[in-house]
Amino acid sequence: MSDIEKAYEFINFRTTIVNQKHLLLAQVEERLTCYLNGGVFRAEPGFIAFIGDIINSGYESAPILDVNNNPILIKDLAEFKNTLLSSYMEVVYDYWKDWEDIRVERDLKKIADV
Amino acid sequence: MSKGIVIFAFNNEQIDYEKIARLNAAMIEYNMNVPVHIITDIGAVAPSKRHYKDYNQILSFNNSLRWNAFELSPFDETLVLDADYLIMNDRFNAVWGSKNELMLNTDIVPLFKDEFIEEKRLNDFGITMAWATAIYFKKTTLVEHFFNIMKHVHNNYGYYRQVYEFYGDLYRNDFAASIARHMLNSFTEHTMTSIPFLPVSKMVVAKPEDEIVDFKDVNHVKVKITLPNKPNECIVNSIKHTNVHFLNKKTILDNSDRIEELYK
Repeated sequence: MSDIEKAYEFINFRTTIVNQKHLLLAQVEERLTCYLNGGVFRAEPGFIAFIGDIINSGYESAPILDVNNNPILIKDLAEFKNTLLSSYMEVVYDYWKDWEDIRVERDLKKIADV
Repeated sequence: MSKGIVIFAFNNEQIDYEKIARLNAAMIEYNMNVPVHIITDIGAVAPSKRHYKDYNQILSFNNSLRWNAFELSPFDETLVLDADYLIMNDRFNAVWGSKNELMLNTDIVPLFKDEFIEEKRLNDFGITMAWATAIYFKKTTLVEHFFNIMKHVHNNYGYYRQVYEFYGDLYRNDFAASIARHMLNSFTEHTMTSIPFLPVSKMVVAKPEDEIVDFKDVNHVKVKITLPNKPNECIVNSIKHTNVHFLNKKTILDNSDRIEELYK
């Protein structure tokens, strides 16, 4: 195999890995959605920290804006934070696990099996 | 309040849309555990013709009765889905009991990263494209107006094509939904009156050239992705727990036995 053929093969390999990461991120994007009392929320680090700040300020319940800017009354902020946090940890852990499998894999067929 | 999913499925000479809808209904019931209502043939509008890349043929295309969803849905809360938008997670359950009466998306994600998407707008300087692939609604006055506008656009398609400057004679629900959304947003974009997005705000789309290689497991699909502008080159990736709109109907039907086996 010539050098240029090796380069082309590597490009295909790299394209597959980069695109697999893109599809894993699409999965993360969908799974980070949480819903409560008719509101939709994203389990993102900044939002989780914000809920933590509200709890630390002494609030047990409060209306919170959802992703569509609807005010949603959250009766138990601590439980809400736990839900967001556990969703985030579960989704990102799965992403990390899949990404680790892909990162070290050098067989194209196995990348497509992740 | 009753809730459920409605799928329109009108067969043509080649494509068994009803079968695709039944396969998707099994996937929806497995993942979301909500009832699915399939509308098969109300025969009110003569089908138009379009070219299907997956079959490389010109076939009948009858997709113009989406506005009837308001009347035909037996549910108080309805999520209308395209038959070929395969549901592989429960994220759409976030819509039930929503504070919003109408939700639809304007964003899509192609299977291939950074692939150029032509249809972000109705034309280069036009209004934002809204996708009729998934529409959530409650039976309210606003929603009735939305579907009435869609119907009006269908009945006066030539006029709206000139006003909104888009190409082609083929009626598309996406265009009618985009115009209805624009009109209900007080003829503006991105204002406080905007119709909200669905909880799954970016729909993953597989273009007609992309194929399912295999359903490896429940909600885990291996896909062959044709590279943009390189019809003879492809990569194979897998996608799991993600809803995918497969524009290639043939590949869904080719894998129907496996889907039935996994989601029975």
